[in-house]
Amino acid sequence: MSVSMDLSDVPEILVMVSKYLQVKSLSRATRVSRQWHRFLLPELWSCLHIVGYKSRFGMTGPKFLRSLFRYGHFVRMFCTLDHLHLDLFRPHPGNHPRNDLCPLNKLTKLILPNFDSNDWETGPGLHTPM
Amino acid sequence: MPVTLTSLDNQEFKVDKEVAERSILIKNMIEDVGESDAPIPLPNVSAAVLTKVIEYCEHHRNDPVQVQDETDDPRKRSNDIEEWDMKFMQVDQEMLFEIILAANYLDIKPLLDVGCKTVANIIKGKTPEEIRKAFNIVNDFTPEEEAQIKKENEWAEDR
Repeated sequence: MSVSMDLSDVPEILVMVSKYLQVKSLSRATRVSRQWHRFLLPELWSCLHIVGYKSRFGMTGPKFLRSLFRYGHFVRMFCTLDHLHLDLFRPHPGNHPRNDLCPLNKLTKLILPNFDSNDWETGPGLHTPM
Repeated sequence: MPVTLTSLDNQEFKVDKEVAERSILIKNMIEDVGESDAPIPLPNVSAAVLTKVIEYCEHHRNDPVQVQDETDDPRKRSNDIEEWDMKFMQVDQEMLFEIILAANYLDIKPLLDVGCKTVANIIKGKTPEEIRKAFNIVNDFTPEEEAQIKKENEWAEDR
């Protein structure tokens, strides 16, 4: 074992420690250094409970989508939950070329630049409901 | 029946089997090897750290096996450290980290938990600058980057 160590030398320990931090302390810890930011940011964002957000802000489909576009730069992981109306995200089955017109492809292009729309059902962070 | 543990620096420690078996790693090694007088090598743990770990295991030798914490709160509590454990963890930071690493390697979950709680308690209520100072960490963010992260995490500040 190293004689002198920084907690971020062993990321799993830093993450274990972070489980005991409340959100405010965790947020401050993400600003300590690049390494701490890298390892703690996912933990911080996992504290953001999105369940109920849609109903809390009274957003209906188009308004909800507009908000997603507007705040897309805040989105690190995008997933749909089974209680959301998946029709919003499902590609149109019609004659539109998938990459141009379907809302899913536009949305995922904006917030998941590396996302391959052909894999949308198994893609990163995008899960279809059961 | 005592077992012999050998530290990184080749120091031998004779401890009761039930004490040694607080470590799941050692417990599994003993089970795999069967009855044997051969010393158990622990090449990742120095004598100084192993002494502390054995002290912890001796004190907690009769503790029940820890069950998985399944509280509703996804954030765990760090203010429930027993008095003896708190005193036990009053060591310098280097030793604290070494104990945490040893607990992780030896798979002694209660010791790992108490170590992580102790570090969390050092972090709690501090500003990023104070945390850096506490752990001797260099700030490698530019002021702009730090401001940007602060802005992105604003939602967390009032929680």
